[in-house]
Amino acid sequence: MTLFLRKFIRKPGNWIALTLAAVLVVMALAGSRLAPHDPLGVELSLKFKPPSAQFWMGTDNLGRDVASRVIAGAILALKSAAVILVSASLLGVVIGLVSGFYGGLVDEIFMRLSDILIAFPGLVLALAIAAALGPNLTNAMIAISLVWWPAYARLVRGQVLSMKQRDFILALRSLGASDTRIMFAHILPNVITPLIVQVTSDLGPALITTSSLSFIGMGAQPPTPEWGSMVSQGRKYILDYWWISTFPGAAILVTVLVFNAVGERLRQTFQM
Amino acid sequence: MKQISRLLSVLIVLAFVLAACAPSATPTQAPAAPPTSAPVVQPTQAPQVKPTEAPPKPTEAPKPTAPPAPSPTAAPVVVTRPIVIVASDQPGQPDPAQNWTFGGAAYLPHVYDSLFRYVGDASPKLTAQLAAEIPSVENGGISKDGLTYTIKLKPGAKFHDGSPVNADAVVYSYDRIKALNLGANGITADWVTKTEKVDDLTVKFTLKQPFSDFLNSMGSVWGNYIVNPTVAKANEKDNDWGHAWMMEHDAGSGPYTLTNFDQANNQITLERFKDYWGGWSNPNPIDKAFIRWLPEATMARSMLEKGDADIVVNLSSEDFAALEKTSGFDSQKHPSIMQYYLGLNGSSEALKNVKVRQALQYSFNTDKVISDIFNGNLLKMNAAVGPGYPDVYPATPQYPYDLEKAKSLLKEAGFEKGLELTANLVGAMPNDSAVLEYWQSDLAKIGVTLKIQQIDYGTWSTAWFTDCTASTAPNIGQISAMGVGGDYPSAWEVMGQVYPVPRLGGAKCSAVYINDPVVNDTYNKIAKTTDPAERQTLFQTLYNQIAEDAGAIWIGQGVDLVTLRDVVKGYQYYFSMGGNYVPLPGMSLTK
Amino acid sequence: MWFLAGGFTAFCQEPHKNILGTFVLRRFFTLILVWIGVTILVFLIANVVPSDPVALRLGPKASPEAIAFWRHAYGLDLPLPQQYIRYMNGLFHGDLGTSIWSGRPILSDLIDYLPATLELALTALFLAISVGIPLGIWAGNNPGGMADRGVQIFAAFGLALPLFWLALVFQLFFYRNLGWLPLDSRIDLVLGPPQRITGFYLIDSLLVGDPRRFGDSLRHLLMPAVVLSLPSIGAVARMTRASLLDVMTQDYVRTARAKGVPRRLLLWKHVLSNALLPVVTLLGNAFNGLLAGVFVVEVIFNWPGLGWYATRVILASDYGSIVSITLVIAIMATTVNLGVDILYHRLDPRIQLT
Repeated sequence: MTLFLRKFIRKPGNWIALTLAAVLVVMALAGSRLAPHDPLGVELSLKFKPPSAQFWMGTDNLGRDVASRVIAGAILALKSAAVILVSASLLGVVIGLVSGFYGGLVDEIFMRLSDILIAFPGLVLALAIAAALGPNLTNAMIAISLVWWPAYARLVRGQVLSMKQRDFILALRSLGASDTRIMFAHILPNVITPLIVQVTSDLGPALITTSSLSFIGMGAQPPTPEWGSMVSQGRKYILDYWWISTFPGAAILVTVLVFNAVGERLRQTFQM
Repeated sequence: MKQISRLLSVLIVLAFVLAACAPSATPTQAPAAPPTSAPVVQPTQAPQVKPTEAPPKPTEAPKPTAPPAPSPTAAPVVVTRPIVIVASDQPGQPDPAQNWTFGGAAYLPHVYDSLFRYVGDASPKLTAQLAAEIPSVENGGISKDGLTYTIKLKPGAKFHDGSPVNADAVVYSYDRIKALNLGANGITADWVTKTEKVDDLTVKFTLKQPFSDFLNSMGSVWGNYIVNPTVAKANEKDNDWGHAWMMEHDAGSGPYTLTNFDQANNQITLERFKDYWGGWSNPNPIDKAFIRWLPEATMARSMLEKGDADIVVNLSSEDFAALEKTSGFDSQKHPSIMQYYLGLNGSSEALKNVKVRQALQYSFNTDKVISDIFNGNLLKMNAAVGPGYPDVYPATPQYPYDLEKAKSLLKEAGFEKGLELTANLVGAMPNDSAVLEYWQSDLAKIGVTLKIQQIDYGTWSTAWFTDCTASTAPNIGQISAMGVGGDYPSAWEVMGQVYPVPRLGGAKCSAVYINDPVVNDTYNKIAKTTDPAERQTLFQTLYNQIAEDAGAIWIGQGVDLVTLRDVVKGYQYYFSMGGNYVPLPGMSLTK
Repeated sequence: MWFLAGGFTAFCQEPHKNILGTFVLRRFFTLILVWIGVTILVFLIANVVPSDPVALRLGPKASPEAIAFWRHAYGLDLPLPQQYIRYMNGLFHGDLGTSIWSGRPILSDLIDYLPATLELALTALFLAISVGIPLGIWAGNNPGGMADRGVQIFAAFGLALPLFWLALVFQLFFYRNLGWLPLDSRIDLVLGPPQRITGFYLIDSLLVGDPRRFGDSLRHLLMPAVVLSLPSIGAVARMTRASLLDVMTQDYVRTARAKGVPRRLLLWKHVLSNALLPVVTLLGNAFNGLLAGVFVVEVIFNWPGLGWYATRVILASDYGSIVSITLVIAIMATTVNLGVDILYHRLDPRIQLT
């Protein structure tokens, strides 16, 4: 792990990408302090103002400052992507470890289950869950996590399979180490690195998925300044007041770019 | 090198931003042109909106006539291209025994005829279409006890296949609507116990009870079309009264035929029926019409600008305003049958105290919402029904915007510490999200936290209207933003859709869950009485009581925004049919 | 139809070489289990969602009797397991039931809408391959150069853009501003679709010899297909480039270089066939990604395919239709994946089939 990190830091491009990502995270956390105006402040007399010195990204149909909303939305974006990935990977790690280690019927069942979930159109599932549990960001995250864990389970399982027959594992077994201990104390650390690479690469797509759900209206609810729902609400004004949709859309783009870059570089380092 | 690639990334982002920011100057834009349309709707009492054209009020059922104001110098150019109309509501199903959707009004009245039909804009008038005259007690058409209606038919009316529109057809049609039980029967057919043929051109309707609005209901744009029994019977399958066949074909007698109902492509094709029984006196009629529905309404304006559409109904307020200032377009505003309101669930824990509901009424700044969110395109209401309807009188009490009053009422009700409410967004009202978000900020000032949630229409409507579980269902908020449209221009009818008054047929529960015996009682009396003085008193009592109950916050009566390209002539707005109806028979294209 | 070809040739081989055949058979049985699992999942969801499609269809005016009558007619008042058996039974007889939303047999609806989605998705896939691979080769051939940088940036953007935003921007730019391409739909309103043979407008218009409709369909297909394909083009380009570079550094390539084999020959004969292997796997993922993106693209471009149909029936809570659509999509996705696996094996028999 430390070797990996050292390899990573060596290339200048890598820590530029990492810095950019860190900047985004810090901005998101600082959120409300950075925002020049109240992201929820409705003021009808100020509606549809174009970008200016006072309102960097203009105002929306209710007179709210778009820039403040975009900044406030950053933390939401990062949080939702992080929650999805953490829950999906936790679930995936446990299932992948168990499935790969024990094999047999347990393996078959979990793998078929993951096949079903992979084959299932994620949008349908998310919509159904939103309708059943109530449409809000939390339930959207639950729905997406349920569709994402199979990929991680597969990854982990593959690693476990290749490690299962290794000498040191066999040695541990013959020494009488318990299954749980072998799985979590010995196999898992070797699996972590490719997993982290995959998770970081998936930050971008997770963000896009949450925004897409919010775009349809089954994710974050008004007046939450979530980027996807901001693009959605702004699109009927796009001809005359383009800034309402464009800036949140660009925010999604930039964030995903940065995180994809980090993920890509992590992957390259890993493969070196 | 890496820095350069970063810079390149930023530049490309900018490029996308520039691409998205469409330069709003279009070739036809006249920057300083004065607005050519009607003056801005005043958010006050009487409907101030006048349509830009003043169509002569026809006293007959609309026969296809020449356009009302032909320009004397223009020689009528015969244009053969089809007209493209973009409607604002989904088409529903083409079987007239089922269709009750606003979008159905876009094509059903062209393909089918009914006994009576409403014409006119601001004060719509019931006229006889297939019927020979309007029945009344004087001419013997209505029995003294109000239970029997005897209606004479016009001779010579024919269906598209040549068979006659006679009493048999009328009886079959109404029997069919009742038998199929697919929804549209709630409008008229459910009130009828028996439809009988008296002779070839006379039909007798026997009612379950006297119903003062019965004739009015027959003029509705739904639930009253006469279908061709020959064709329906010939295509019957498993006793379905020809229902499956009529989902894709037409069995009508109207001036146009339904040549294609393309659900996949969201479009309908109508073609002119040259042998229409009512005749054609329009020298330059439109032979073919495409009616489209756009899932992404954002581009409707672009379609108009590019000439890909000739008429668009209900552009967004902003798009409409932009085209109002542009030459080459005729932008019209007309009060519509729609009414928008916030339904308050009076049987829920939080809202069962009338003081709380009244507080909510005082906290809603109707004037500001109409002027700033709807851009003035709503008519303010001062009773449970909008001013565009007949029989409407201002109610007492009124609830002007007063946050202090709202606060004190909440205190009286015991909610001084604050109150949490949830509002449902179901897509039943334009600008609903903006309205709720604006109200949310005002409510915060009096200690009320409003949570807004979007619910899919199906789940919401099942709980609220069908199962009546809005108070107990999880995830259904106590407030819903919705709209109601009268089935025909009747204040009585429209109130029946909103308040849980007992009616024949219809859903088990209505939009507002307050069961007030005074309201129910008065409502029922109105249905039975025909004395105008008594009606007025009863209506006034009803409006006052409903206002007292404060069960719904009235936002306003809708205004349909219709934008036409200059090349379209002869358009009239029909109040009872809703904005989706475009009177094709009397219209023509100049280019 | 690679996998079918692979499958059949496998069966025709001698028994001791029949690994592929057994593999296909085993996988097929697993797939059937998966497909059944998908239908069960949808039925479970239908039970949880508290929405009544019949009430929705009939509208607020409908009497409770009417609603009850039609619920019975659609079998919605039966307990869930019985509804499921009814559905499966119908499935085996080719009867998928009637859609509450459209009022037509679901099978007819699917036959109408499926070709549109396939035309769109396959065109996007074609673009992904025909644009993505050359771009990847171009970039890989000149590592570190301007072309390489450009392609990498392009790929990064392609994977980062939300499709719904991209679609709107394209429409603004190419329809409204430039006026080069039509706004939506598969064909011009007035012109009308070509005579239906396969349901693929491009193929049908060629078969009938209708160049005007061919051209018009192509114009309509362009924007949605390009929008849909952009993320995949990026992914394919990136993977091709990485794989190419990977192979180029391998020993046997260095040997060939040292021996003086000309670069062109080297590229085409030795490198590409190996480099393209991982790309084949990626295509399977790409197709899955395309199927997901198809929902958004079809709705925004008014493209009457499965995604469009699915959105409509989901909004109408018409779970009968939703089950069938989900099944079709699941079958498509898993079949393509199976095909990719088989193709992979055919290209490199060293690869173990799990």
